[in-house]
Amino acid sequence: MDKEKMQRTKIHNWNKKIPLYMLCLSLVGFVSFYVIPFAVSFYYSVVDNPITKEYCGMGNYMELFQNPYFMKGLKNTGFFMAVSIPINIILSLCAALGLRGMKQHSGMFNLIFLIPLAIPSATAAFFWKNFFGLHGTLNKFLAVFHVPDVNWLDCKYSMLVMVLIFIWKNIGYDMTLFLSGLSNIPEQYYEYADVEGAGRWWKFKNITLIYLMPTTFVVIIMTVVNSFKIFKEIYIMTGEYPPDSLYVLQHYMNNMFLSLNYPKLASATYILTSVMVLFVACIFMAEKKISENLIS
Amino acid sequence: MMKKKKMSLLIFLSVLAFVICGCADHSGKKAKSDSGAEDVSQDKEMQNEGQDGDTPEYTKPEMKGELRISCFIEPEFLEPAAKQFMEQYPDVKIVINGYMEQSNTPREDEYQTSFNTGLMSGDGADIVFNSFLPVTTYGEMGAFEDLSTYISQTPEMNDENYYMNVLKAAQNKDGKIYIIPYQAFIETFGFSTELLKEHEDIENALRGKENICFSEVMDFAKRLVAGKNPGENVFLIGSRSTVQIIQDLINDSRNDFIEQEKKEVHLDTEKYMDLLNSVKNIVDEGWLNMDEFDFYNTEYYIAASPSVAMDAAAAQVNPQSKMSYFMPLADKQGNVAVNANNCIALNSSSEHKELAWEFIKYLLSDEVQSLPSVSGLSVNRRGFEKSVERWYNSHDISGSLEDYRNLLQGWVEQVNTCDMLDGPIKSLLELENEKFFNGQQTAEETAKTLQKQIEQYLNE
Amino acid sequence: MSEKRARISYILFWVAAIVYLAPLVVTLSNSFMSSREVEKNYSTASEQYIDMNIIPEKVTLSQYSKLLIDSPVYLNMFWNSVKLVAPIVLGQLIVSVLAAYAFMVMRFRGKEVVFLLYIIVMLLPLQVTLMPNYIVADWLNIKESYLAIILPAVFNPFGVFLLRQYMKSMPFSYIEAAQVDGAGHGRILWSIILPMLKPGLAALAMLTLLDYWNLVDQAVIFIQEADKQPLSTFLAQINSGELGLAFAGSTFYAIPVLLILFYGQEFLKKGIAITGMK
Repeated sequence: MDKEKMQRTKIHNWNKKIPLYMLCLSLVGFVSFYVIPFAVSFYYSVVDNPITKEYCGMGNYMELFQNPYFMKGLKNTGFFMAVSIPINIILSLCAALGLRGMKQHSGMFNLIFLIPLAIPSATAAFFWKNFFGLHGTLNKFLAVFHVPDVNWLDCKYSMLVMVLIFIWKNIGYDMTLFLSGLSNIPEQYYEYADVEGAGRWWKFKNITLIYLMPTTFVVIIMTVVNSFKIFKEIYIMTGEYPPDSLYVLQHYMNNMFLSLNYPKLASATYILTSVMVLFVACIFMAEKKISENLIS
Repeated sequence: MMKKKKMSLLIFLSVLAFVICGCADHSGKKAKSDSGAEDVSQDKEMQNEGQDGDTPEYTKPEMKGELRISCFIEPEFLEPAAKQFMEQYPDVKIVINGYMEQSNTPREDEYQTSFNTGLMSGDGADIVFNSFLPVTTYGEMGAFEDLSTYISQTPEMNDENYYMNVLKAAQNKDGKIYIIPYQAFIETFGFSTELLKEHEDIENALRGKENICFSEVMDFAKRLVAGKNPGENVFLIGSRSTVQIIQDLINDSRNDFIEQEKKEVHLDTEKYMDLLNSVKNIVDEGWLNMDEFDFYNTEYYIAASPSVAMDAAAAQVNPQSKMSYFMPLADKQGNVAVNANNCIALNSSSEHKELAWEFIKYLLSDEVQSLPSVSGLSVNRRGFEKSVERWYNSHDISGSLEDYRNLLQGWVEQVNTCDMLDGPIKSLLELENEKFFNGQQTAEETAKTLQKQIEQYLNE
Repeated sequence: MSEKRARISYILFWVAAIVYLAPLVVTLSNSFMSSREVEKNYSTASEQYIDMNIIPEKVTLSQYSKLLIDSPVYLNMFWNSVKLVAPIVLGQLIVSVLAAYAFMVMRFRGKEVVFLLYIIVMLLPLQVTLMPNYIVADWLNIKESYLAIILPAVFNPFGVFLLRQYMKSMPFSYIEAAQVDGAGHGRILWSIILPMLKPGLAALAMLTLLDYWNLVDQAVIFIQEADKQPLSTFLAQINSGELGLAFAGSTFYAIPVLLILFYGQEFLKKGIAITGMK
C-alpha cells in the first residue's frame, strides 16, 4: 500500500516540472517576440507622434472614426473578410472530403492545390494582373462574345475578383489543415456507425463535424490571419493608391507607415483587432465546450 | 461573485479614467499648438533681433562617439571626408550606409521602409543625405532637426564663406530649416542661336532677363519656330519628356495646383486640363518627335533646351555655340529653386546631435568642398571656385575663366528657395500623366484621378 | 461514395486543377522564352491584348543560363533562402510539440487564458508588428543577422495552436495508462504521442515552409547586405525590369518546395487506429 502511494506521489511530483519547462521554452519566445510587440504597438497607438511620443489617450482612435479613408478601408476589409472567409472554409472542407474519398491521384491533387502557395506572390500577382487587366486574357476571351473590355481590377466587382484570388490561393492551406484533422478521426467510429445502419449524412454530422471541431477552429483563425495577407497581392497589382473598391485597411496602414505616422497605423490595427478578439473569444468558448466532450 | 463584480467595476472605472485623460489631453494639446503657431512668428522676430545683437556662442561638444550616415546613393566625397574627420578625431567613428552600394536590389520603396523603421524605433541614422524622401512630411512630423539655430550659432557660416542664400534655401515660412543643400543644382534653359537671329525682338527681351519661367520658355520657343515645319528638322523643346514638361509647367505656379502645407489640391480644374491638352497638341503636331531623328547627319534646330549649369555657362561664354542666352529656370514670381535631392538632414532623435553638426560643418568646409571628388556648384565659396576651375580646365571652354566663373556665380546668387514638394507626389503626377500621354486615359480622367490621389496623400 | 458521385467530383477536381496549374504553367513556359519574345508579349503600351502564351515560339534556355551560370548571385540567394527557412521549420516543430504537450498534460489555473492569448496575438497583421519586432531585435542585439527573422518565426503561436487542437481528439487514456505503468514524460512523448501526431506535424511543417519561403518584408528590414539576401526579395520585383529572368527564377524557386511537399503529403493521410490499447 505504502509503496503504491509513494509511486503515485513520485509520478505526481514529476508530472509538474518537466511539462513546465517544456512550456517555458515556448513562453519565453512567445513573450519576447509576440506579447512585447503587442504591448509596444499598443503604446504607440496612444501616442501622438512616434518621435516626440506625447501621450494623447484615445485621441488617435477618435480621429480615425472621422477619417473618410480609414472608414473606406474598414468597410472594404470587413466586406472582404465576411465574404471570403466562409466561402474559403466551406470549399476547402469539400475539397478535403473529396480528396479523402478518392482512390487514385489524391496525392497529386493535394499538391496542385498547394501550388499557389509555393509560387512567389509577385509572380502570381503578375499573372492575375495580366489576366484581369484591361488588355488581359479574360477580356480577350470575352471579346469573342462581343463583351466590351472591362478593367476587372477597377470596377464595381474588383473586390469579388480579389475574393476569387484569395480563394485560389488559400484553399490549399485550409485543405491541408482539414486533411490532417480528418486523418485523426479513427476509422472505427465510422465502422461502428455502419454497423448500426447510420446514413451518410448522419455519419457526417455526428462523427466528422464533431471530431473536426478543434481543427475547424484552427482553420477559422488561420483563414482570418491569412485574409490580412491579401494586401500584398492588391499592392503589387495596383500600387499604393488603388481604386476605391480595392482600398483595404492595410493600404491605409501602409501609407501611414510611409508618412511616419505609426501611431495612426497602430490605432487602426487595434480597432480591427478588438473586433476580431471578441469574435475569436466567442468561438473559443464554444469550441471549448464541444471539445470537452471529445477527450475520451 | 462579489469579487468578480468588484474587479469588473474597477476595470470599467480605470478605462473611463484613461479615456477622459486622453481626450482632455488631446483637446488641450490642440489649443496649445494653435497658440504655438503665433509664438513661432514672434520667436522669429526675436531671433532676427537676437542675430544682430548677441548670438549665443556655440560650444563644441566632446568629440567622441559613433555617427551613422544613411544615403540612397553615396556622394563621392563622403568617404574621403569621413576618413579625414576620423583621423582628426580618433575617438569618433563614422559608419556610412549607402543603400545602392549595399543592396542587391536597390528599390526606393524598400529604402524608405527600412529608413522609416529605423527612424521611428529611435535607431535611425544620425545624418541623412536626402534623395527622394518626402522632406516636407518628415519635417512636419518632427523627424528632422531644425537647423536654423545651428546655422545662426556657427559664426563661420556667413556670406563671406558660403552662399548663404543657398544654404538657407529650404527655410520655410516658420523659419525652420530641415535640409541643407551641399550643392546648388540649378536648371537652366537656353535658346537656339540660329533661330534667334531671325527674331531680334525675342533676343532683346532675353537680353534684359536674369531668369526665366517655363511658360515664357514655351512662349518664346513657339514664336521662334512659327512658320516652320514641325518634325522635319525643327523641334520645340529638347531633352525634356512630356511628363517633365508638365511638371515644369506646374512648378511655374505651384500654388495654383498643389499647396502642400495647406493640404489643398486644385488639379481637377480647367486650368490643369488645358495644360495637359496644350502639351498634347504640341506632341501631336510633331514638335517633340525626336525619337527617329538622325542627329548626326542632318542639320537641326532646337528652339529651347535645358542644360546643367556648368555646361550652360560653357555654352554661354562660347560665341559659336548653337544655344545661347542660358539662364536659370524660375517660377512665375522669379524664385529660383534648388533641388531637394542633394541635401543633408539631421535626425532629431539622434543622440549625438552636436557631434553630427560638427561633421556636417566639416562636410561643408573649405577642406572637404575643395576635394577633387567634389564636382558641381558647391555651396562653399572656395569649394565653388575650385570645382569651377577644375571643370574649366578639364573641358575645352572658350572664353576666360573669369567670365565663366562670374556667370555661374551670378546664377547661384539668384537662388532663394528649395523645391520641397514631396517625392511621392511627384511620382503620382508622373504616373498618371504618363498614362495620359500614352493615350490610356483622357485629360479629364487624369485630372480627376490625380486630384483624388494627391488629396488622399495629403489628408490620409 | 457511389460511382456517379466519385466521377463528378473527379471531374470537378480536374477543372479546378486547370485553374490552379495555369499560373505555374504560364510561368514555366515563359521561362523558356527569349527576352525579346517576353517583351513583345507583355508590352503595355500597345492597344492589343497581352499574350500569355503557353507555347513559346522558340524554346530557349537563355533565361536559365543567365540565372544559373552567368552570375552565381542567384544560387547564392537561393541558399540564403534555405539557410533561413530550414531552421525555422525545425525550430517551429520542436518548440510547438513541447508546448502543445505541456498544454495537454498540465493543469493550472488560467491555462485557457494563456492559450487564448496565444491565439489573439496572431491576429496582428505584419505591418504593425514589424516595427516593434525591430525594436525588440535591437534590444537583443540581433538586428543584423538572420536570427532576427528566425527567432520570431520559430516561436510563432501557430504551431502550438495547431498541435494542441490536434491533440484534443487524441485518446487521453493512452497517456494515463502509460503513466500508471511508470513511463516518464519523455517516453510518453516520444513513443506514444509523436507517432499519432504525424499528420499534424506534416501539416505544420508544410504550412510553415510555405509561409516563410516567400517571406519578403522582414528580409527587407533586417537584412541589409547584398550577399545575405534571400531569393524571395529579388523575385518580388518581377514587375520591374527583366521579366524573362524573373520567370525562370520563380520556377527555379518553386520547384524544390513542390518536391518537398509532394514527399510530405504522404504523412497527411496516415490515420490512427485504436487497436491494441495494450
